[in-house]
Amino acid sequence: MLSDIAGTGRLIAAGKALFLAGDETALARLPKGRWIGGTIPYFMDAAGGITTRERIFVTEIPASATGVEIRSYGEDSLPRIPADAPENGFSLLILPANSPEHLSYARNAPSYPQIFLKPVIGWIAGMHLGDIGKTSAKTFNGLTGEVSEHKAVVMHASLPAAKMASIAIVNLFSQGTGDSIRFPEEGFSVRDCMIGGKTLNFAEYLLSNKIDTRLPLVADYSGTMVNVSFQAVDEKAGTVALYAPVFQDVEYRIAKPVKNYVKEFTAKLPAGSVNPVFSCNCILNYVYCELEGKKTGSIVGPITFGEIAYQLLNQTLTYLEVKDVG
Amino acid sequence: MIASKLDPRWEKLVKGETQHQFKNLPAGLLISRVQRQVKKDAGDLKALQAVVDEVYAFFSKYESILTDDLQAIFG
Repeated sequence: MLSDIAGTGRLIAAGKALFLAGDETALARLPKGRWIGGTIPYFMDAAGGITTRERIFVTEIPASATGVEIRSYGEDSLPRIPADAPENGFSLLILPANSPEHLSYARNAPSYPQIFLKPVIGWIAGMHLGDIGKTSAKTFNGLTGEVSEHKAVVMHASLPAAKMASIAIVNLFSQGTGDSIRFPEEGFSVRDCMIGGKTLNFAEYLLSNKIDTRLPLVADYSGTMVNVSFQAVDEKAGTVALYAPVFQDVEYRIAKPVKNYVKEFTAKLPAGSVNPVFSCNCILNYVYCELEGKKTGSIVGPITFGEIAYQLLNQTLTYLEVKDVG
Repeated sequence: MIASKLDPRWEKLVKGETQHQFKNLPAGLLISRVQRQVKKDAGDLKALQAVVDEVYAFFSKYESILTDDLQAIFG
């Protein structure tokens, strides 16, 4: 829920373990305590999508949690996140956009030891779109007071044996019927692609085929659709910048268009009640689908520069539930 | 009851000889990654065993929520 600075401060003073999202100026005014936070001024709230620099999105760790540990991680220690996570519980992670830690996590997280054995969910901190180039994304470690443009902050939460954490996504995009696209090299920036056995310049391909780059590349990961979103196409340099890395040996296709985001989102929500402890959605969905003022069901949370469900995702709503076992 | 780690169907799964569309998010992400890894490490029996161990550990831990997927793969 969105809360003002004073209200958030009272929760911290009461000893609550909190996962926070807010503008840098708001987070900087909070007292030390059991919280971590990341910068962003866009949110989905119960009343709909909203931009605010004055209020903070507060996620309280569920009362069923039996323990909470807050840690910061630099690039070298990121692979330890799953090993540091409790055997039964979940880890909430925030990385600052465009930091070496963000890029490293995006490339390497799928290969971290135990990564899929421990639920890790989180988001990429960002900034107001009007502030891009003027300021940087930051993470806050409320326990130490450290504010960082680089470090990941993590809240590891333990659960009792009767509870289990479960991470799921709602991705409106699926592979379209266009060309199968592969890439000879992995990375956030690509020059060449392989289509129909030929090597082509990817920027030229996108432009000559008038591809709508608001639609992501989509890969089928054994039933899970994983998006890679377009950042920029540089015709002169012949390069394409992406918001997540593409990988070798993965087949991508441009996504099928989504006609009405809110309607299709609502239709795609799992049947029955979804009761997320935490959820986040992508800034590109917020902007392209004009979600400001619109509601996306009961699912609320920060609007982010990338979503983490074990690994980095793009243009995907991601949520965590804590369920009873058995 | 989950199939024994020695069951050859684990190897078929990680080699991509058994294709299955998982409903469970981490299962899909894990199997997709290990299938690509096994192709890259083709012929490396030690690497193959390590991947089978990893996949077996995942399915053992989350057996209770993967019953549909396990039923589809192992019958």
